[in-house]
Amino acid sequence: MKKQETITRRSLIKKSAIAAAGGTLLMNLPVHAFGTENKSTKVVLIRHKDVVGNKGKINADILQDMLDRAVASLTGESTTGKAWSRIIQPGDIVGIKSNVWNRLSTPPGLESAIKRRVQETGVKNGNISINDRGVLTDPVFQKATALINTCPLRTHAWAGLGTLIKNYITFSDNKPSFHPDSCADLATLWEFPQVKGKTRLNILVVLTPLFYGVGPHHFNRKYVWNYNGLLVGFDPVAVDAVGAELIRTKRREFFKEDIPINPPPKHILLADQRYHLGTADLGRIDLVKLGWKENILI
Amino acid sequence: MLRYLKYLFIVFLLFNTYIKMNGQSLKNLFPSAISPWEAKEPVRYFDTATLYEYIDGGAELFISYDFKKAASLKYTSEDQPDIVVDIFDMGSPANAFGVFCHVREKTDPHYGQGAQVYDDAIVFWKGPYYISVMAYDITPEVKTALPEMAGTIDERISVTGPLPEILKRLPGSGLEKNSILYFHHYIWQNTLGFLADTNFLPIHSGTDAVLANYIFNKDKQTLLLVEYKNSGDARNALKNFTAAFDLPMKNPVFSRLEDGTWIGALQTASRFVLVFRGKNRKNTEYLIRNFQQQP
Repeated sequence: MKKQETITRRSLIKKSAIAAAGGTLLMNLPVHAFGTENKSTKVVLIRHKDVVGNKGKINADILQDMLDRAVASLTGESTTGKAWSRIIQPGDIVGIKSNVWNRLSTPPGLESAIKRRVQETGVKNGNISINDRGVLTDPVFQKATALINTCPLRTHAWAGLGTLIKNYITFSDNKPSFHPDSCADLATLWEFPQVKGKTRLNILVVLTPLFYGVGPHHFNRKYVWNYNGLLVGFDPVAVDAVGAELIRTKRREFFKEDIPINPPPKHILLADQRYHLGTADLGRIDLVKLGWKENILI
Repeated sequence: MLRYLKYLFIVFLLFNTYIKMNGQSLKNLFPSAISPWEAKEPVRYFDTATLYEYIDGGAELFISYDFKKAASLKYTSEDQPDIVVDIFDMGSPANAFGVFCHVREKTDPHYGQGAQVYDDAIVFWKGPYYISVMAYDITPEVKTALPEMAGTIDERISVTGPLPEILKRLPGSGLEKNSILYFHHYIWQNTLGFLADTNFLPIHSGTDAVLANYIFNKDKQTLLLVEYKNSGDARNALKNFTAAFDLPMKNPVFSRLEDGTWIGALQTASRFVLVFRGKNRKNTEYLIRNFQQQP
């Protein structure tokens, strides 16, 4: 672990070098705009008014269409087939890294939608697996050449936010070793041999995000809302940074004041500043918005 | 001889109290049933090593408050959502209160020594215990059962405990009581407003700390008070603060930050006080000066 400089309230206010990303992630300073400076990475936000129905039931057909449109936009391809062929090759062995947290898991409909498109690229069925807590012993994940990373966005009692960066925690056989300093160094998971360089696509599920966590299980349905969206990108840090901005704006709308995400989700900032996994600077992210625009917040 | 017997009697009483408050006695706090719900599975127990298995992602909160053990029981009923009751033994009333601070939005006095009531959950603290009664969905029956369960557990816990001593030092005027957060792990120093991303003061298990918001004519100030073991540690906290915030080493120190808000800090005896976020220097000074007048 590298030595850490202290980022203070004052250093963020003074617009220091880390202020662009840190001001938003750590202190709720308002973001000026997406992609106003050098755009270095693209994130696609797609929403559909009807994807979440009564009692949270997910419409699988709409979700499939949302995924297809988002991936096409991300890759710049005109068809779903061409888009996915830019991501997965027929000879790949594909691990779909899901999330099974019982209060807010990756929807099975999304897992199926991803798997369907992976199969259509020509990957054999036996070379595809969907897993979360069993990835270390899953034969497909053990020899995977490609990973697709997907998890719901939620606040987290110790890391600040449950994110795509954090979703690879199950690749570690020593999870508590990532707990110091509110999980600051989660980006090092992405250096693990089972993971490094293999992630082809990141899908942050923002269908029903959890924007504030209370109680022993850090969940209360009062703080979940139907946002009906997916955030899709190649850069997990950028997608997570956009997710953090969404949570920040929702909290401000709900509480009528800035209640910072606590603990601050510094692992997103450090994934950029310390580990160079991607960009957390919203000013350098080209956010493409597709679909339903009502109450879009960001 | 009489003195020896007295000594033995005291040891017996202490041991008896320890046994009552420990181990499997947690089991006795659970009701066996609240009609139509029944507990068909045994009580599950968790310690610091196994709490991660039960509370995915939330265990560290409890461990930061010196968590001792927890017991959990699921209640089921045909055609009704499950209700799960968790009882956490935090080892001291101060730590139980500390964990409760993280869920409290508006304190409800009806359960234990303070509760937070949601549509689908009741959370409260009493003595060294932090209790959660939570349903997996909301039905009219659930709305009746949750208060009954919480009330039964409340009655079965025979002990109460004092609030953390450090709270007595908070100035009363302008205090938003529901904002109080008691802690002794630096991770929580940013709860009411970002201060720093490292343990720069520092705050650790040997220190008591409290955060609270104050309002004076719409001017919101956030106060951090840290009680150290000695004045030297408190003095170091002031030094660390002024260095990290690029301020002159004065005691007290006041400064207007670049966003126009005021920040002030003071070391007095073994205490370090920091006030920030306010727009009016007079209010920041009022809070800081209050501590100069304390013994």
